[in-house]
Amino acid sequence: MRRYNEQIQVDARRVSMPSTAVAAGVPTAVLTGPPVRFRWRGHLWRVDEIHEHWVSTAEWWDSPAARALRGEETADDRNAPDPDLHDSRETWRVSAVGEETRRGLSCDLVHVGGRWFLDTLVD
Amino acid sequence: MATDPFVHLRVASGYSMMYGANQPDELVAAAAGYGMDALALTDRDGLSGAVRFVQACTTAGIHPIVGVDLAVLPLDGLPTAGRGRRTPARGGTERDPRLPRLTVLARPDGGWAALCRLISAVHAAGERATPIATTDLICDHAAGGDLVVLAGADAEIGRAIARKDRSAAVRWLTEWRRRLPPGGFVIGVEHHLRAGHGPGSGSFAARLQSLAEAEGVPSVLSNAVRMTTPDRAPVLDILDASRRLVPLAGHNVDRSTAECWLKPGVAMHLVADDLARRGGGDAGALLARTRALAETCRLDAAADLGIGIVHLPELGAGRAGDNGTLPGTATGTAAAADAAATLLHRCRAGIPRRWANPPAEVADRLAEELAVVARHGFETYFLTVADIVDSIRARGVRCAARGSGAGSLINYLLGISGVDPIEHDLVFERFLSPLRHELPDIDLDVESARRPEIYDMIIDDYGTDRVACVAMVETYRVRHAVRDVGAALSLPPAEVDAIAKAFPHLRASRARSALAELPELRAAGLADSRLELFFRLVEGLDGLPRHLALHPCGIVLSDRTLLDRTPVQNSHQNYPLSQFDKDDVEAMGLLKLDVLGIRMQSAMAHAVAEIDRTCDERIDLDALPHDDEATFELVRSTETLGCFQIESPGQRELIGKFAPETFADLIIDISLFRPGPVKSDMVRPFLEARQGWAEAHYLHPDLREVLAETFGVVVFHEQVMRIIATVAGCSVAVGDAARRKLGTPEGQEEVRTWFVDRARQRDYPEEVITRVWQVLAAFGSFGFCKAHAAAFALPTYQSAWLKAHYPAHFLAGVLTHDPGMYPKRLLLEEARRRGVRVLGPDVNASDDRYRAEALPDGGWGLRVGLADLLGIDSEELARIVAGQPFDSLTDFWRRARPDQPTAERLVVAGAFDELYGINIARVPGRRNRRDLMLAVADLHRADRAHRKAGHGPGQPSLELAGAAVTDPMGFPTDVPLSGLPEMSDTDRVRAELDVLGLDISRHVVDFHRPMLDAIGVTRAADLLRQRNQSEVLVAGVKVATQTPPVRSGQRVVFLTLDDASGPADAAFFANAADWVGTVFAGWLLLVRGVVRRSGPRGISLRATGCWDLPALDAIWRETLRTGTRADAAAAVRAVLEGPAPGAGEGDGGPGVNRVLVHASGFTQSAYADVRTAGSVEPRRNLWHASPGSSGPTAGGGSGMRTTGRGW
Repeated sequence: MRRYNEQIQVDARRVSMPSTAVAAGVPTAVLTGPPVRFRWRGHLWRVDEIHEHWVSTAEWWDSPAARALRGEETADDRNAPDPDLHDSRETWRVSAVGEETRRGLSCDLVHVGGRWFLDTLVD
Repeated sequence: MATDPFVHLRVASGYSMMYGANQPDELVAAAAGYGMDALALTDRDGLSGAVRFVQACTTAGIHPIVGVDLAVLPLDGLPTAGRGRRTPARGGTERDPRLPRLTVLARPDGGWAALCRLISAVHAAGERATPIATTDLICDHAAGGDLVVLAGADAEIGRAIARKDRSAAVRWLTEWRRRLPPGGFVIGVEHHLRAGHGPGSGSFAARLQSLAEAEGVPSVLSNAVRMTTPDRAPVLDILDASRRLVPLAGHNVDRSTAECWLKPGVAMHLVADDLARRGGGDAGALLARTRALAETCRLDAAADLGIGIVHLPELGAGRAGDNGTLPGTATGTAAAADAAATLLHRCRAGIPRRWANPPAEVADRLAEELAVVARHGFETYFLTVADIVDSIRARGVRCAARGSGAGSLINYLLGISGVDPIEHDLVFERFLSPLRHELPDIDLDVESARRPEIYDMIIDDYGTDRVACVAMVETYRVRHAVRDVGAALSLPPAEVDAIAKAFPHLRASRARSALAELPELRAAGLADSRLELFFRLVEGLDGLPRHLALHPCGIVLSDRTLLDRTPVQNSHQNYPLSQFDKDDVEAMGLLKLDVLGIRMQSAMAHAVAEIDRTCDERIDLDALPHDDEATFELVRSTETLGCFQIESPGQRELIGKFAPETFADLIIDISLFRPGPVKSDMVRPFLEARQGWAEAHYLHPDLREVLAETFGVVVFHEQVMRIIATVAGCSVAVGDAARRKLGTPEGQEEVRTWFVDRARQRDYPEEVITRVWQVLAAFGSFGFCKAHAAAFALPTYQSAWLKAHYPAHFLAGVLTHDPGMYPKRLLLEEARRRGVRVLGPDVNASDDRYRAEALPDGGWGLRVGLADLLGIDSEELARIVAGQPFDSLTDFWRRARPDQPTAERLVVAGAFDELYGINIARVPGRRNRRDLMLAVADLHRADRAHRKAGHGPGQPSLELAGAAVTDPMGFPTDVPLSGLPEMSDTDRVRAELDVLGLDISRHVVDFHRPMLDAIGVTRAADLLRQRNQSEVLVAGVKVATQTPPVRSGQRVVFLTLDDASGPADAAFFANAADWVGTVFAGWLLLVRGVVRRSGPRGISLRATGCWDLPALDAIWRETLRTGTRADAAAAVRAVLEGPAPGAGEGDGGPGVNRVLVHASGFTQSAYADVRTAGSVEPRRNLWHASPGSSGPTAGGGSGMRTTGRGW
């Protein structure tokens, strides 16, 4: 396992909230489909298989903003960005094949706050 | 429109009580927005959200599916396997045992009834507030095939799977499948994308799915929905922590991801795909089974719930009692004919009771009303209410109908209402419209002190299979939200408490705007940016239900199918409680009767009993003629403190100008004092015409007849109905239908088009049409129902009559039952003003009530009761009353066995003064209150020593002296003389205020009289002699504050002070807002203001300053120590020159003047009539502040305080 945590570009299966809901003014959420291809370090990788898929949410009551409420904030907290309380971190553990290289690769792709990261390489 | 075939079968709304984060209609709107054609609501433990859910579905055009989510006792029994973690809470009790749960869905036809019965049975079996189902209960109710049991990850099977106990899981599946009819048992797979292998994870869901497949149990895909969108997840966490009374922590919240939201079908497909990838079967088949199950569970609002159909008690049901059988009742049309005949007979029998010579209209009017009743089939409604009223009166309990029901001749003849609708020209259609098949509303006012007895009587008479109490949903408002968010985030309790109390009673969603707008909150530091997160969470809880409570007055009555229509649980007070609130009950077509406990009715009953006791006279208030001149003189004098409806400062000002002369005037007066007339500027033209200062002006000659009684001013709903009927040429019933639509902007537009069109056809000139329409639109839905005002005028007249003729007896009733807006000490002042002598508490003469006492000089005294003594309990009180008379303190101590503090408080309140001759003359050798205090301490010490010596309580201990020994004057000598001086007058009054909340011996303001005279303070009684626009100072005790809705939309605070000479009223407008903090915080106040004269007896002050009297007094005394009175007066005056304490504080100045704009264009301060921020709670209830409701009265308090429900 090697941590990279590099922001990458990913093509995911397109899923979106029904347009009728948007039109009806119903609150909507961001939907994420499974990743299909991604570009990492100049190479294009095609997702071959999804092995695992899970989501985690932050314990927001321990966020800097919540600690500040209790008067427990630290110096770091004051500079930390205030994330949305419900932000989910969605992880796909996939094997992928290089489009040109034909090399295989297992990794965790993470979607959080609208951005994709290649989080770790899994051996 | 795109369609979404997915159906959510497991959905919790806020009505799961602190579990779901959204309102049912929000969930419905989301599902409809996705293009779904059906949605389920499966709240925890009940159906209290179901009716509004089904109504929302009907409106949105989607099929409702209804179920319930129940905690189930595991087959294995308790304690449960599972996480095994206890959740200790405050007090160490286990708040949430986290039992396994099952969802039970209703199928069409019998399902709703089976669901209702199941829920009632579960609540009846468990402890209150912790309903737990058993397998037997569920299977018994599902035996008919009307219910479907849906088992998800949190069912018992989930626990078996979690601990990888496949055989236990199979055993459980087999057992449930065996015990339920075919198709009655389904596995609901939930996949919340959680990491790992536990419930909520894909791995877990796949295992459950394959097990169901292997065992041949059908499975469906659910999402165990708790919110509409994932951004509500923090709200769920707060709810979880608050429900369990624990701080937020990973193991205290139920969700592990934010996936439990109402996902659209596309997202559920992704979930199904992910499940299939894990070997959880075929995604398409799973989704198809889900849809198929949903299709068999779609309910119909009318056919299944009975919405839109009326279900009245059967004829004669009131005598059914508990056995529920009705001897000789017919069914169907025969029953309807029976009921109609009975109603006709009873109405006719009522005519000679009401009139010696019935007016000519009676026969026709009765026939017309009966025809409308017959068309709706509401005969048993009237007969039921009449039966109940008869039973109430048969118990000797006072009872009066309020509301539009007074407009019905039937109600008058049946004795339900006491106002003659023909004499007062009241309109039946306002009460029961031939056009709307809706049950009319009759509210009964009974004596508050005896209301529980009436509840029991109705339940006994009709039986629990026909009667239940109506529920009231307690929802999060700002203060509760602050407390729960604070506790969940582990903020210091004292801080949370301070923040909560700083807020007025507002919706939680208004927290941040209140911060921006109320300077007192900013001054308290609550606008700190660090609190941003806190208040975001507070607002997130807005309006979510917290628990079901007993509605303060609603009772629902139906036929024997009641329990097929509503689930019933036990209320805290052990009444059968329907899970439906008043709106639900109305939608379900059930007869709702409001039985309100009215303190004024108790007060009047006490007064009548006192008259009987002391004068041997029997008064029948309901039979009084309505033309007593003494009564109207009293009303016109504006000395109406204690009188129903007309005692508030605003009302006294109005009657001062109005000078009512007849009962009809009282009806108009009550109707005028409302937001509608106030805002539409009706009061001034009415009074000007009434006093003959201006011509009455009519919109059109055709309307003269309709408006003559109010000199051309539109006051009543009934007049609006008739104006519409006259100008548009329609029936009064159609006029009423149009009137009802005026409340919303859309409705107004609809009516306008129709009205203008009709009026043109009838050739009314354009300018008349425009002006009439302007009046109608301005009137909006505000105005007042004349029948309701007439019903209210009755107790108004009765109370004024009592006050005019029997002031001591009447005030004894008012003081005993505390019905009005003023503190008791002001009522004592009122008694003195009316020549009634106030007699202090006396151990030998007082009991638990205030009593009238004939004085030797022929006058009347008012004896203060002992119930108001601080800390006295009912048993002590009962022993004192049983032991009277006492011949000495020792005798009292031995036989009444009071607590030491109680005995001491009785001494300082003067309850032994009479016995020891303390007030006769202060002569040497006479005991005083201090001697008695010491004696109480001696008695207490002696008792303790005696008990230590091994004697039981109650055995006589040593005595102070010979108890029966008396001095030559006949006063007991058991109490030794200490030689201490008697308490000073100041000490006495202080002590009286402390222990009784009353100043009996002197008025508190008297102590400040030297300073007040030195700085030139005007007495309240002398205000009338002040010139208009002159600046004066007044001082007194705060007796009331009000923040009513006023015409300008600004926040205005009205303050009433009492200085022994009478009440003085001052208004604090926006430019005096800086002084408002002092108004709310203080008790003894000095106010500077400009005199405003508004009529012969109408006077008030426009306040320009307010100071705390004790603070000024401190300056006065301090200066007096070294200087002269002139110096001291100058020092105090210097303070009065200074700026307001709150001036310049806060960052945004006085803030935005936030106003609420009603459909009619009426603007109102958003903070009107709400309790004010930062007010200090009094130790005793020494003054009145208008309650948190923004009810329909323009000036709040009106002597109609009800137990529990403010109007």
